[in-house]
Amino acid sequence: MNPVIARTLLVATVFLAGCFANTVTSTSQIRKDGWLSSHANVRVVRETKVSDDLLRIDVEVENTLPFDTRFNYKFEFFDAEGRLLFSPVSGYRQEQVAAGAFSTVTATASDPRAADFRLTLTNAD
Amino acid sequence: MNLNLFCLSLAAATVVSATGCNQNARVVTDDRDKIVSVDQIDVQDWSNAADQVLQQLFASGALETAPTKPARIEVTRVVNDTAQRIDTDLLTQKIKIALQQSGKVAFASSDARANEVADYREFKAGEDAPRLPFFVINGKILEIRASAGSTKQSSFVFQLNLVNTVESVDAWSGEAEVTKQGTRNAKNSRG
Repeated sequence: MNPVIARTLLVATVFLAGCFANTVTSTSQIRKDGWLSSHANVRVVRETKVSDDLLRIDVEVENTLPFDTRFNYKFEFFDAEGRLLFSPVSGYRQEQVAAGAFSTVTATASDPRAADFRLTLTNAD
Repeated sequence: MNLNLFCLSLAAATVVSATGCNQNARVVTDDRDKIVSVDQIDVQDWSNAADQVLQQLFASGALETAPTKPARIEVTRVVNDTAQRIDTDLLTQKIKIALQQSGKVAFASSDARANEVADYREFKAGEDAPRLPFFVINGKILEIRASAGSTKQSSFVFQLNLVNTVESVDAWSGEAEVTKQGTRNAKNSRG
């Protein structure tokens, strides 16, 4: 094989492997994978109470990529002892966010025992 | 010899190809792996719509306007104004579970026997006040279709109202929308 072509192929393979590596970044509350690990900045996390005693979470996510993209996200709520609280409406939602723009994802716990949350952000493109 | 080898290779390739096309049945628990239909409401869409309207309802504070807690509530009618035959309980049951979890409302039972027993108990106790709901929930599900070339788009709009029965006014109105677009259904939403 032509050494130039071979070198080009090698570089392309390394580059592509780097692009698609399933990097995961995680804090105790927010977990990100795929492009979100490096290009989704979580700017603000707001924890408030609505309807007197229900925990509401608002998370601002910034897309630092130079193009529009989509991501899936899921909120889960836990009680003070760390037990997962059942919700009939939990599941992944999809959000579109423009290049360099912000998107706010929100969730409200329907159970007043909710004391903590976990947000999972995953690649949808 | 070469022909035999060719035939064997072809047979092996056919088997591999056929195996690749078929998928064994499996239980799907992750929403991202559920089929996404362009022109109908999928199971995950009900959960999405219920979540949207519940967040609006909780944020509105309308449930706190009831004089007693939990307030008595009843689902009256959710009209299906789509081209599909759908059971609106797929939406209302999720809302009911979440509202009950919140402890702010108690749903009036539609069970005839339960109502009969409750009537009897009240009669024996000398109480004849009717059990009236403070709130009722009603709503409508609508569908809007559009297309451009071979791309189809379906929007499903879920409208709900919480009616204060003392004043007969809407204490809250909410709306959720699920829009899907594509040329064909997708096996999952992972992209």
